[in-house]
Amino acid sequence: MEQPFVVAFIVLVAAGVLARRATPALRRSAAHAHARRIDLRLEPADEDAVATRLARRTCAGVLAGAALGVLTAVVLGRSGVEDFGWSPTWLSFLAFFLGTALGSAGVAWYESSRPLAAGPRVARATVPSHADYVPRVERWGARAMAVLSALVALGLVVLDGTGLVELGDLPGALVAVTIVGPALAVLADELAARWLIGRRQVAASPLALAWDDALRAGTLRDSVTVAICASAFAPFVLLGVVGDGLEGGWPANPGVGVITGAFLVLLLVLVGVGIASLAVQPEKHFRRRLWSVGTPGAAEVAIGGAR
Amino acid sequence: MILAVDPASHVPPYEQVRAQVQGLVDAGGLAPGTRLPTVRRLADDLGLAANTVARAYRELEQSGVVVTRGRHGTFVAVRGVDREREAAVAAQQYVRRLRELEVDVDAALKHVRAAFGG
Repeated sequence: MEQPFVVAFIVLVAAGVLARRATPALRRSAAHAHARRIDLRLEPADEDAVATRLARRTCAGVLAGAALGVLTAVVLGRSGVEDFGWSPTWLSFLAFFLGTALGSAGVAWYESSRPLAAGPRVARATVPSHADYVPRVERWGARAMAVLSALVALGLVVLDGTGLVELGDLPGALVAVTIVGPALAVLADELAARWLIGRRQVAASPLALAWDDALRAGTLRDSVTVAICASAFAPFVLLGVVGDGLEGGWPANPGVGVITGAFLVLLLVLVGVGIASLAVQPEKHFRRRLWSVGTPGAAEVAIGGAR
Repeated sequence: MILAVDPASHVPPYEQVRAQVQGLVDAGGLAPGTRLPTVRRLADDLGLAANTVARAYRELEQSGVVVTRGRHGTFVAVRGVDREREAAVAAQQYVRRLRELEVDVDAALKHVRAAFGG
């Protein structure tokens, strides 16, 4: 995709998201849709506050994402890297996801440090963990993709080194990025999660605390999405660049078979992680972990539950 | 496992925290070994001074409800029925090992007394 089209696509997506939250009525509607999706009660008294918080988080995320995505697309467009095929396009989208996560994290930081009026407060008597907010399949999916990314890069280096398969000149910098980049992304996600979970949660009722958990879970899932995307992106680019340098086809050139096979394995793992993630309904994960049936306050926060 | 503090209540905040943690532990809502939030974190969440929460934790520790393990944090103590159950499990493991070693009851008791220092 040409960079101007990437810019236009990102701007359109961002404009669409912002337009759906342009008025208080639209924000309330979006908040109710989100409440139904995660099975969390939304009382009239909390409606405006929750709608504002959700909209603030979404808008800050999409604005930061669009800014970073467009900036990346423009910089890559001017630097003339179109020769790398689809890589600049995906890098721009990766920047969009990164910006979204950063925007959400910024709002999370603001909300955890904002001054609040005096009054009754509630707090959890236990210490929640990253596993309470992000499903195992997403956390371990990111780690598995990072390991797979490093294995692909190392595998290509070993194959090229032994001379069994002719892969041409391997791009050293890209190989290094494919090994180290995803691992750093996963590490950054873990550190960001630890930082965010360590921040205070200010709530005056169990329902307000549950909504804070919902926003926190959303931010943490944005962050792990960046790690997964980075872990998937790096080896795909490496395989694409190495594959572009090969001539002929399989089986005449075994290198083409190796690259295509590795590409398919990566694609399968990525699709597998995606399907497994959708199957566990990740947006409801924090409800199952922190507000499951039987937990004090759980009935109070569920849609249709006792008040 | 929610703690609620009302600053307008006639009950001092530290006592509200202490009584609720004690209640959750007694009701089984907080299992033995569960880690409690740090003093600073709970104080931030509840909008209290750190000293207030520290006082509640100190009184809970003095009454044996929680134990503080240095920098690892504050945990719900193993006590009462839980202590009996843990002791029974430990005894069964000990006896299983002694049977493997073919040690009789008298010798086992002698070892237990020696281990207790008596």
